[in-house]
Amino acid sequence: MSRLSFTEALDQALELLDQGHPLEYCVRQFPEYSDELRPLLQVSADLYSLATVSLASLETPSREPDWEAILSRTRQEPERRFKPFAVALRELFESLRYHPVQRFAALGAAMVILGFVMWHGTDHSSADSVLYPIKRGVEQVEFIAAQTEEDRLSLQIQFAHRRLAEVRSLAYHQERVEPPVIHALLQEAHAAIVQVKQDGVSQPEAYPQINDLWAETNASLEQLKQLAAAAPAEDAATLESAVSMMTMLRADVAAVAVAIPASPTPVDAVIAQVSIAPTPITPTPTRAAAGTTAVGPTPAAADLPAGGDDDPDDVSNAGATVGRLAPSASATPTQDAPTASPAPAPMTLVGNPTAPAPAPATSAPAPTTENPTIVPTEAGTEEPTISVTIEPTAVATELPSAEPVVEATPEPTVAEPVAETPEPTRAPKPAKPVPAKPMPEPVTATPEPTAESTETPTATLPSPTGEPAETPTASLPSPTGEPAETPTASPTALPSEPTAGSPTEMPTETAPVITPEPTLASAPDTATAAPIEAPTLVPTEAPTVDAPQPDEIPVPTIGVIRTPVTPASPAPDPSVATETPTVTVIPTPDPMPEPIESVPQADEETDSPSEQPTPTPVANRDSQVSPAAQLHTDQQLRQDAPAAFAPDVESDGHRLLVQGGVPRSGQEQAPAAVNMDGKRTSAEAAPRQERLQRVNGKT
Amino acid sequence: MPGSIDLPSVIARAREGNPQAIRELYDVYSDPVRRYCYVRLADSEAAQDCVQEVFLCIWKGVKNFEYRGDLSFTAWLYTIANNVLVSYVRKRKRVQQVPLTPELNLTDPKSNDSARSICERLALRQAISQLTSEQQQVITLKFYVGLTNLEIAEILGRTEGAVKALQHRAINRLQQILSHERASMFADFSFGEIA
Repeated sequence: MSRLSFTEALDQALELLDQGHPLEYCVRQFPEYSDELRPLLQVSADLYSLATVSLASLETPSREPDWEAILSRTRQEPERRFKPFAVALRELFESLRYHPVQRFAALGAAMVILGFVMWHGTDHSSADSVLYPIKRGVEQVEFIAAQTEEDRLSLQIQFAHRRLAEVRSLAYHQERVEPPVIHALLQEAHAAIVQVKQDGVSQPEAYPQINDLWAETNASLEQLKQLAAAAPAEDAATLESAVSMMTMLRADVAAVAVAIPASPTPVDAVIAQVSIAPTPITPTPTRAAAGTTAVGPTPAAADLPAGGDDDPDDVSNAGATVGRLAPSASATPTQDAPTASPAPAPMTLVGNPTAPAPAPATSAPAPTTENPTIVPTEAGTEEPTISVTIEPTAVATELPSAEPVVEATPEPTVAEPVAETPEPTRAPKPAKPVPAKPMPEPVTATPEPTAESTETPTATLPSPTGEPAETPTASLPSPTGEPAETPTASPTALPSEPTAGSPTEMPTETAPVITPEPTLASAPDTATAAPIEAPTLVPTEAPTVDAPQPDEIPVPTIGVIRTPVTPASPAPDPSVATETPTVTVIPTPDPMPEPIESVPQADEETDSPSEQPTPTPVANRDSQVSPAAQLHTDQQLRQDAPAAFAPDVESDGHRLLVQGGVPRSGQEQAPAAVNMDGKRTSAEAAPRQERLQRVNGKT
Repeated sequence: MPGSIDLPSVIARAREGNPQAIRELYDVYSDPVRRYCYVRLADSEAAQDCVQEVFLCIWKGVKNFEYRGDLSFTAWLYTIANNVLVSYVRKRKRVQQVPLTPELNLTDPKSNDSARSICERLALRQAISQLTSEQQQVITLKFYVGLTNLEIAEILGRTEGAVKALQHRAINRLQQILSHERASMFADFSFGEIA
């Protein structure tokens, strides 16, 4: 007989006792526990005795209740078809009572499900949801748990991303926008960006993320602007303030991007964007596109809401898309370059023959050296504002890559555009109609300009008034949207080119022959007449032409500066005039005021893409000009280059200039200018193919 | 105890709304339930009211009762009885403790109890009140109602082994309390003699 536990022995002894056996008998049945069992059995016997005595007085009721009467007054509860959840759950647990393994498994599964639901709900909670504090708490834990500086920086960038996404989501989905919430989010995003600003530059791993952040910022800004424009009156103020805060954030991010040392990563594109950021000023779509392109595709991509994504929730996607675009964008220019090649303006300006066909070479390195020329181009594009901006050496580095490409391809095609271009220019200077060989001349001219332009950018910049710079700008744009613009712009560009690219002018002069050419047909008459009549006006027009471009032209500056744009007095500036003539006719130094008036007309008609209003910039664009010098007030700019302030530009009234200049790693400063309001004109968004077709059609 | 009736058929008739089925159930189960209630309430009339209320609850909810054997019905019956008792006590705002009242007869009319026996019963009753509610439940169902360990386990929602352990601890605790009482009693008596 196996040894019983004391509990079992006691239970069996109680059974015996209940059956009426004497206590000692029960004890003897379990001798091993006799000593311990006896007192307990004694108590048990007393309990039985007590129960018997106590219940003895409990008498059975004399009569039973009248159940039929009682039950007739009581209704039975209806049968439930489904068990209550609590009952079912209890039964489930009861069924698992004797299966500890299954019980723990069920408990674990429940915990996992609950955890997933909590995590999912928390991760996607908006700033006004109940779970949002949990989300922030989790972020704090993540940040604290981060072991390396790289991880922390990455988290900071992620947090900034999230805050921006939350702002967009709130503004997009909320019926009523809560200012405190949005402002708090933006402040937190700003805090994160400031942290990134402090640590990001030193960690190359973070560059791609910063690039994405830049794109995200642009996308958020654009969307907020759209929402603010469409928001009801009661929300407009809130969204407007959010837009202003977002603008400041954008400047911060730009500063971060600019501060990053040169690298082949997309960050370069970001820097290019920053420095070249288009100015919202003028609405010259065509030109704007060109200018933008020149600057760098990345910005364009960034500015545009991720892939045309309307849903702000898709921030991640948007950011991702933008991020991807950035690099590709940079590449795009290169590719476009060939396409854009048709654009005459760029071609002429570039004169890259010298520069090998680096076009495809998205990599900035090689072209960078040469590109400096490009920088001026941008400046030229920006003309009014640009004059100041252009200088950034860093910018130059980036630009080069784009230009080279353009030049190589374009030339052949460009020939035509060039020819056209001359027309407008010619128009003003019909007097020089000598050239009867438009094509040849253009070709010849192109090469020359190329060489010249190449030089011009670097060395010539100062003297040529910077027009060359503009010219390059035109070429840059070409990659992006030049095709379309090219035809129209070409004329414009030509005029401008002549001005800026005095060197180029040589060909231009030849172009005179072109003047009569068909492309400009519409304008030619007017142009022709104008030039003859008012040669002096030339300068004025040139600026005007440039003016349109400025819109897209990025304005490099440090800090936010409001630069009231005053309409450039049509009055011909001596310098401008000198330049203008140069452009149109020939030499760099020669200013031909006369053609100016006619030129403007031609530009308008032709919608010259390159329109290098640069005259002004040119004047300021001494290659040696320091970044600080770029910070000119409107008056200064007017004094320096009145022509730069074309009426169109002036109409904007003010421009916001954001200073993004930060010394590059170990080299010259790269005063990166950021145009706070940088917008893309519709022209930019227009497919290049269409523009090309248009151009081809015209040609 | 319940072996005298065909429980499934009775329950089926009760579901159909036949009052006779409840009468049959009352005849079989009223006594143990009454004892159970009486021990807890120490009031025969209150116990009878509670018994009547228990069977009324069975009538109301029999349609939702899932018969899975006699044990399941016993467990359901005493669960209802316990709920009724708790509700009854709450209404009367009485402490769920066995009071010492004249109704609690500590003498056996069929035998000649000595004073010591009465004192010991009184001490035992007081000792029971010092047990935990679960231990009291086991003692009540085991010694007053006469249920088996298996039935008690079903009622309490515990295993049979757990009920045995509870029973062991409850008896052991009673023995300790009574021993302490006796020791103190003897001590007082000794002091009195000395004094």
